[in-house]
Amino acid sequence: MRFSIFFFSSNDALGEGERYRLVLDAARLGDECGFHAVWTPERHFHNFGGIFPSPAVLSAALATATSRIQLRAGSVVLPLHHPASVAEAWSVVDNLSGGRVGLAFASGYSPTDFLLAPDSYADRNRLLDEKVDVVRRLWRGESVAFSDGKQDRVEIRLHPPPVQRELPVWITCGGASVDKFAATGALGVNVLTALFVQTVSDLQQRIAAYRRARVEAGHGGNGQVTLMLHTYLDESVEAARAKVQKPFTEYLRSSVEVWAKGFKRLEEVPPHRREDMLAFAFERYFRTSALFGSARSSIPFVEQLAHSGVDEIACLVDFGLEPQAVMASLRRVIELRDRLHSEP
Amino acid sequence: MSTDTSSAQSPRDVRDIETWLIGHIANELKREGRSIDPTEPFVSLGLDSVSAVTITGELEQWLGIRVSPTVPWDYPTIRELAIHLVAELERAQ
Repeated sequence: MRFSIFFFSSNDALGEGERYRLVLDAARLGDECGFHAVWTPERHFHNFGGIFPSPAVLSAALATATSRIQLRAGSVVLPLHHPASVAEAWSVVDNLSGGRVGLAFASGYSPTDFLLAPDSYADRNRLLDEKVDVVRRLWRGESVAFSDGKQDRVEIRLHPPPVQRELPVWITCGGASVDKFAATGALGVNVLTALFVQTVSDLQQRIAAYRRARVEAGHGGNGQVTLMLHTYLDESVEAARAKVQKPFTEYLRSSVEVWAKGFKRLEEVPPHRREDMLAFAFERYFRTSALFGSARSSIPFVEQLAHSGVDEIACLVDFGLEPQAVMASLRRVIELRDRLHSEP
Repeated sequence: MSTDTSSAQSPRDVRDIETWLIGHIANELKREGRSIDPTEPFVSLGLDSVSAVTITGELEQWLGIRVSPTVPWDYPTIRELAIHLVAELERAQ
């Protein structure tokens, strides 16, 4: 099992000098301790994840601050952008990092984000597929035709050429649909997923569908399944619970505000029941859907995930804990990894 | 505990509460009551936070005691929860 660091939601409440400190410190620690990758998201126009409007710009900084760790976007909201712009920006990062770039692509969900590309919202799922193909072709050095400023067709190639000949690609599969996993398998690219709306046993079935679809489409290799998991490890399960209960509950509250818009069932919960819902959701994450506990207590869960077909656990760390706690927890993830690998 | 025979609403034992839970969970999950096994974990039945909070809220109203929304985690099947609730009702007498 590979372990990575995943940023998801850091807000911009911290002062100017502090906003990116945790991202930089965690990336450097990850680089030294052998974490596999550091993932940063793309978010727009909201306090939730407010420090991440541009994962390419941020990853360019990480490229020069690190030397080994993979630098990945989770996820680039591709329908918001011209595919040539995305390929250009990340080719710069691939050059600066000596070929350490990987990109997860997502279709996007927030209508507000689409003020960047208003015509793309309705058709975002189809546009995602089309644009992924274009980015991959540009990355390989193919010439691709676009309409120019005079509406003439013009063929272009990517500059600068990237270091990696093939762009490592993930598709973000939220988990609401099996079909998305199978379609991703058929494309022959990797999967980025989470346990927000699916259980581990759902995920196991979906990974199986992904791998079957890969084989049926004739792709070699197994593909990679990356699972983002909220992570905090302490000395004991009790210590971890005491540490995360309050910040994680607040984080769930703010994520509900972001994600729940439009989910009728959530909106129908009466206000006096919302606290109860958060309490239930906290327990669900703590007991079944997050890496909360100690290095020792987490081993069975990680083994279950490995058995389910997960290749990489991307430790989601920025849900409201103070930076020192995140750094201490990341060191315990290394302890967990070493325990796993030292077992017979 | 009330022995009032006219009150079909008031729970007497584990079986009453199980029957109530199966009915309400079947309704929440849009399933047949017969297909719900009282020894199957809530998680594998597919109970999510909205359903859980709805059901624990209705349980509170029915039983007249506090039912924590996290109780399905500590008593993870219909049967275990029913046994726990009967004990809580007796304590509340």
